[in-house]
Amino acid sequence: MRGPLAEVLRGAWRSPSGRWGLVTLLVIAALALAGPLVLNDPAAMPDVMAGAESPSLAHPLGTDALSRDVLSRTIHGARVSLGIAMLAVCLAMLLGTTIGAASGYRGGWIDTVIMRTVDAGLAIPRLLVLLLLVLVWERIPTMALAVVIGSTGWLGTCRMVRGEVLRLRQMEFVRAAQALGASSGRIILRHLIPNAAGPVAVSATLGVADVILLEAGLSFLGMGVQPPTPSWGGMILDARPVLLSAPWTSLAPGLAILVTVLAVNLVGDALQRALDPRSA
Amino acid sequence: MSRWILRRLLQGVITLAVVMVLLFLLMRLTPGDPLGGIAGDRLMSPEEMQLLRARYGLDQPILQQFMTFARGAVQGDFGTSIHRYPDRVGPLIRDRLPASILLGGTVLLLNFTIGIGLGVLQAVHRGSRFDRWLTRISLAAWALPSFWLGLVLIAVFSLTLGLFPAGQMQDPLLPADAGPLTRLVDLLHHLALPALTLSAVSLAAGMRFQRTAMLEVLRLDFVRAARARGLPERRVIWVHAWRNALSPVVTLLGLWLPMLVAGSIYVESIFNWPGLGSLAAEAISGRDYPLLLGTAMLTSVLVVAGGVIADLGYLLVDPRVRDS
Amino acid sequence: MRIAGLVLLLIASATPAGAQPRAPDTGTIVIVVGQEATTPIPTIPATKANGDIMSLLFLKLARLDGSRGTVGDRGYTPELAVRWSRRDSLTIAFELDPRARWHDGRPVLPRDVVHTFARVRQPGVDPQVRLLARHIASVTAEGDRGVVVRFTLSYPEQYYDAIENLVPLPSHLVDTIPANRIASSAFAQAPLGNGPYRWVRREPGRQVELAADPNFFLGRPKLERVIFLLARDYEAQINLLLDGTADALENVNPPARIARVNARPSYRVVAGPSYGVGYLLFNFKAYGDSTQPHPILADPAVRTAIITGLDRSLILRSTLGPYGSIPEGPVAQLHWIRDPGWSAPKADPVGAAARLRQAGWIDSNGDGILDRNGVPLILRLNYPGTNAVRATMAAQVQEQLRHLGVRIELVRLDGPVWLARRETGEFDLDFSQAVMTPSPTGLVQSWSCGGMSGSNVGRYCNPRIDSLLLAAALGRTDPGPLYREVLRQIRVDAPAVFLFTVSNATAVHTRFQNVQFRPEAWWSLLWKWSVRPGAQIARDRGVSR
Repeated sequence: MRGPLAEVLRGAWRSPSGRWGLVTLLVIAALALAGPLVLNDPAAMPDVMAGAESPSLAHPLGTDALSRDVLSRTIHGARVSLGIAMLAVCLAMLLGTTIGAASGYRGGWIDTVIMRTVDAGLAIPRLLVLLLLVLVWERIPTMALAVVIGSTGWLGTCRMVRGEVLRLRQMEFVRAAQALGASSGRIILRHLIPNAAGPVAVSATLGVADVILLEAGLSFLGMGVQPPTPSWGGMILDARPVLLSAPWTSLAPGLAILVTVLAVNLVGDALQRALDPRSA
Repeated sequence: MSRWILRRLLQGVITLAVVMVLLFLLMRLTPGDPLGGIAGDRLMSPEEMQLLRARYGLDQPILQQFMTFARGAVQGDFGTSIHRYPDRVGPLIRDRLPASILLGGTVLLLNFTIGIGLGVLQAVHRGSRFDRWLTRISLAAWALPSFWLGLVLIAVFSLTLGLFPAGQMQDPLLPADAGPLTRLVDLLHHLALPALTLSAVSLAAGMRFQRTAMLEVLRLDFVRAARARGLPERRVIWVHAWRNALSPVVTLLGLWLPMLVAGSIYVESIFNWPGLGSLAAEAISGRDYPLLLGTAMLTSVLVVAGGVIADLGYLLVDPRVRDS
Repeated sequence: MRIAGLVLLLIASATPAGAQPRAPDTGTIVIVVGQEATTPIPTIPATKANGDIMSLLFLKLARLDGSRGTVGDRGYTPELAVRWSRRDSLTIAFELDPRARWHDGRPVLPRDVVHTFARVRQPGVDPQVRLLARHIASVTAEGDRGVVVRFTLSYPEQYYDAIENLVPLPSHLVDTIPANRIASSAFAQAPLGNGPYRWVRREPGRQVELAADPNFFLGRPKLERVIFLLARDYEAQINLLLDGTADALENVNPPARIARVNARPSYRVVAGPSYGVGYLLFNFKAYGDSTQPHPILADPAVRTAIITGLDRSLILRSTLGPYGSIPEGPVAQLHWIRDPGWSAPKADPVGAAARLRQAGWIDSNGDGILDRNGVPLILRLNYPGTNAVRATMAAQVQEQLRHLGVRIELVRLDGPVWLARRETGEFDLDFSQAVMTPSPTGLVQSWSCGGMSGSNVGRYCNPRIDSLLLAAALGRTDPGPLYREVLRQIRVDAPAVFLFTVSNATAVHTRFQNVQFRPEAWWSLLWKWSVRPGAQIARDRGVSR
């Protein structure tokens, strides 16, 4: 692997916490992909009269108040959360990078208008915007939720990429390409964006962590992933009545969020340090 | 310098104007009748509904609607709340502001003293076990969902140990003639858990920033020179070095204002803290679009204001910016 | 020296001002509620929150007791009226108790009752209120204590109607306020009544405080202060109880929650029958459009299949335990028209599936959801999210019907929004919980064709029900069999899945004695409660904690 992105990734691997993060993420991803194939139905309520049961052989993480298997729901929830996060971040990165690069390269009044709008968008807290949008769309399907979350997350990346592009377009190789008659699109795509890949990767990683927490929060409010699809935030919401009497029902999803977000943050942190060693 | 300030303020105003347009468009995205949520206690007659509709200008062309909205927004008037009819949005928000400032202020204080302090110490003992473990713990705390932490704290400290109340801002039985000290103690008692929750999940940011900034300053020549002069280490760190690494403090201050609302939605709901966060949560479940809009506008104002204050602060505090 | 002064200051400010010696059985009670009472006055359609407080502020002419029969005048205990008599088949005369006083000291006069009736007839009053009093022709004052009520026709529940609908307001204070303005008037913000408790103040969004009226003519209330503390969130309510802030909480369900309360030695659970019935209401018309029939639910085969396919017994037992039972229709445990011999048929998912198949519903695309002519069997179920019992039941309903091939989409809504959607018909299934009136005539509001302009939001209409209810209300023959026939017809027509009738399990601090509740106005007997001698805690002595 060559290129600045590869270098950054290698740098991340060098740090022990970055390695821990990556390995943990891979394990979680593997569980999320393979788990649902072997686990029982997360929505099944085999014995409602029994209610929440503590962990046992049959249910390694116990059951929740409606006798649903917590382990199965947690793993299915991982699939949902990671899936939404990946999709949302991809969308956000795509939007942010293209708009930011185009804006930065073009300059002029288009750039000003776009940047003013981006500034204004950044001034409104993402959570409030999301809530306003999701409120309009009750019973939002999971896919649509990912798209909505993604479409609110490109502003920061946009600004950052624009900054990078502004910095890069002064450089020799860009001028050379221009002199050779390359179209702006080509320049943006082949020269500018790849060189901004490092910071974009960092931004994407941290973005994933943000989205996981955002989606969990929305589901906790009942506005995110809709039942019966399991989600970590939704599990915590359901666990509230039995918080003390059945602590595993809230510990499992809570720890799942904690571990996943921590792992993602560690990877992002390692990437950032690889980019900018002075902050280590 | 004053020209810079003026330009910066103008930037802020333009940003807010664009925010208004964005919020207006967002609100108009809602399908059907934004007033559809009014009913409940059936306090309104059809005549009153008609008046309301006219008031919201829902029967006018869209540009006119925006002008009415913008005019109202500038004056802080966002109309009448839907789920708390007939209370108006402006006064509702104003009523909840003090509680939010109280909670937010306490969190800021905690983040400032603990977060900044630990960040400096981390930088000084860079690479040590203290430094590394603190980073891990703070990153773990940062990864915590605030609503989950709040629930856990309630379960442990309130319901099991009985040390703190499980919610609200004051004891409902506090007599009207209670002395200021009693009130203060009662307030702190209720403030403890929510402030702790918000603080724990946001501490890491301040710590990180301060650590990085401090590391940069500690590298510089004048610090070595100060040490060589034989000054006590504590003076070197806190008086000489830290004074030049204050930008994280400014950043914290700038970020703090918006946290009053969006950052506290979950915590205020769980703890029933009567601030702007729980007002926003109520507005959400009550499908109260005017109230949500007003809250979003206010938060945006706070964000922009925070940014301007932070930029001004950087001017004062960061030597590099000062010299440029 | 300075430190000593500071310590003294600390001690001084911590000592509450005005702590006086108090009677040993007096006290303060803090009750947690989930809804805010904004207009606790008569002539406004009462929500539960308003009704609870109103029952402490305003007296009725008499109150129901014991047998709960609403036919005739047996089973009433005098309150504002000290006696009553029937003049003829259309006229009843009440005699007001001369000791009754408004909280400003003025006596309660017949003029107040007359004025209240006049208000009910004003154009701006809510149609619900006017509907309930439609059989009262006139109310006149007679002497300085007599009130004569004339009815438009002779029917068995004249006493009930008069007592329920003629709750007097202080005419000397409200006679200048028109009916359509009273809800937002200053009087509604600080009502003045004649009941055992006086209004003290309301902190919007937080609490309402009432104080005992020492001159209450039926006996001075022992509990001097009543505070209704608002906590919308269900979890916050139970937390406030368990961390000692609150003394009482209603509707503590499910049994797991009751167990939590019982585990605390200072709280106990008192359960009593209630008038509450919970049911899943089918929408006969299209979602949000009452001009079109519902594409799926207008077919009785689908409705019946859903009812027989659900294991209601399991849902009930797992959620309410012994505190509920499956009702035979819209009747609560207390209604005298109940048939004690009826029991719910066992669930028959196989039969339900067959019925759906016969009606043309098959899974043609293998996605687990039945469909017919390209329309999938997807139904939106609205429920108020602040109610844990209904939330749990809704989840179980969703899961059980999934096996039948019916996809239920749960729509969790906040109280007022849920109510609004009911009225505009924006639901396929609505998880309703009605607190029925003691009189079965209340059935007309939700289950008759005439009720479609009122509470019959599902738009179920069978003219036979209307005529049966009318015949029963007129009482030329024994109404009992007629009402039971109404219930049977409702069972056949299947306008709703009747899920539960529930006992009201209330958690109360153990220091209270003589704890009594009234099913139709749960807290209205607070004025008879007291604190056990020796069991007073800080708040009872006037100190906060």
